[in-house]
Amino acid sequence: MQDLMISVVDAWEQPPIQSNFIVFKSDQPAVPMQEGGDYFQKCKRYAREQGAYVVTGLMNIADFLCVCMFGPNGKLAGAQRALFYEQNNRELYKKSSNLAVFPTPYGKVFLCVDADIYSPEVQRYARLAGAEVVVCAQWFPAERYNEARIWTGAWGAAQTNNFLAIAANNNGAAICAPYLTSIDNTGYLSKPGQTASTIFNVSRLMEIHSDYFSSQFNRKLFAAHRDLL
Amino acid sequence: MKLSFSNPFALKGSEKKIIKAIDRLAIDRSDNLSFLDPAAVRVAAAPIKLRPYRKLDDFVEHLNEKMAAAVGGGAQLVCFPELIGLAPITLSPHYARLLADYRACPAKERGQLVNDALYDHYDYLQETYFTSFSELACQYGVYVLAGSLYLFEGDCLYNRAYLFDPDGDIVAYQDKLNPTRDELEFGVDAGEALTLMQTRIGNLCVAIGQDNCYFEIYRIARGLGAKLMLAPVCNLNFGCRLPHAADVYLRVQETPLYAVKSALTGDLMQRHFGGVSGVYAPIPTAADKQGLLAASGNEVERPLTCRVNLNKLDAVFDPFSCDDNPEFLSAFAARHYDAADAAPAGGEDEL
Repeated sequence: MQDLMISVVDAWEQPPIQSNFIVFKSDQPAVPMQEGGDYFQKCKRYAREQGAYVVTGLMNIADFLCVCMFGPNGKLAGAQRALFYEQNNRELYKKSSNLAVFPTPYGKVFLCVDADIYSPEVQRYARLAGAEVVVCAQWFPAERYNEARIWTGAWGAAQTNNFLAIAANNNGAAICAPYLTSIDNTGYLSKPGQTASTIFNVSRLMEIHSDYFSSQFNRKLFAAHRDLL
Repeated sequence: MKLSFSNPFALKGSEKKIIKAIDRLAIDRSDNLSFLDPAAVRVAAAPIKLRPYRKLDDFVEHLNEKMAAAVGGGAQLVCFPELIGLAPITLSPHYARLLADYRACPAKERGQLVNDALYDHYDYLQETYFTSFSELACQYGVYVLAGSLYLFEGDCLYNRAYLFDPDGDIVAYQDKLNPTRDELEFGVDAGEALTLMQTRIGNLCVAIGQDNCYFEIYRIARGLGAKLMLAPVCNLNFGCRLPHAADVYLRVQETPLYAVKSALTGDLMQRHFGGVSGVYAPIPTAADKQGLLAASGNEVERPLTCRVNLNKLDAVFDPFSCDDNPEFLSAFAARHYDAADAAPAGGEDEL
């Protein structure tokens, strides 16, 4: 697998390091539908200019809250609709029930839309679908953001399900991975800040022999309590 | 490779010695359970840092130190760490030879060696465990989650935790549902169900060690009616520099429960154990809006006692996880819980 050179930046900004995977922070709750076409064109152009995969911020597409990914050739390489909504969005958007994982030369990518990261079922589903990289695109009202939202979101997903998790929101960015892969054992490859960048190879995730993997399940336990799951 | 000593270790009369040792402590029975209010349940994590024991009294006194501190702080329930039942193995006169055998043993045979050692010491370890914790629970008049021990039942070996009531009787037990790789190598079998334990302070479940890495167990506990999860652990996420944000803390954010985590630290059987202990709550219920009600540093042994309000769990509201998606959850459950093996999900979304 090739090295991922990741940057999380404000839309259209130059990444701080040479990058092959760029994630835009959302500077608004969602790019409105009427602006979607222009936004798409700019993303395509940016992806071609940078020669990188580009993940958009939150977008309203046909009344679904979505995140999209463009390849270095400017073509759409993936898109995901939200499965769960934050309180303010519940009446605004339609809900999807499908989850997909998209292959790239750097690993399989799951585009996690806003509040979906707080669903352990979504995390598990993505893991079982083969996701190695999770991009968490979020928007937080100012009064609802603190670092615990990253711990319980992208950081927690990385520890529990052995992901590389990229958190991008209007308050900042962070890049998280299982703590044994980080130099200081914090689980942060790039600590929460205004932007984030790092270089990582997802094959390292397979080298981490943590004591638990999301692929080891107790089937008898599930059968015994199936009505509660 | 077999153990180099052939006689099973039996510390004769350990039950009587333990009872005598506890009687000498002249424990005053507490009245912590005289007032019961789900809005004011006092729980304690009693982490243990292993120390060399020269005699049984040392082990009993070590446990009593933690009990006295926790109960003195008002605890109605005290949670000891995983595998505390294994600690008295250091008192075996064969312990040094056991360690030597372990070091000399080829890696692929160590599992069987450990299994043999547990079998040979079984009578002594389980007698010490049951007598010590039953007596302490009864003398102090509180509930005690007696960590866990390795216990043989027929042909099976379990990592099992027992809850003792204030009369010293067993309320229920819980087997570890997800043994570690090391445990699988020396023959530990996984438990098959989660048990709801009903007490006068409320309903609770127990998740041992890395069981706390699986959200399903917390979902099941909540579904059974538990409001409190007891998490005896040993070496869980040891080394993580944000230990309080891992495992148990994450689980109670996903599924609204209070959780008490108690860690075993120190050296045992050629392994060094570390970790933190704490009491955790869903963020919306916590005054600090972080969800960390009490916390210890790595390998710190001080018991943590705090009050939890079980009634708050009925009205937990998190704006980021208040939504439902029955169609997705149903599809997920069918793939994940009903599948014969962990088949990948797959599927493409279209715009």
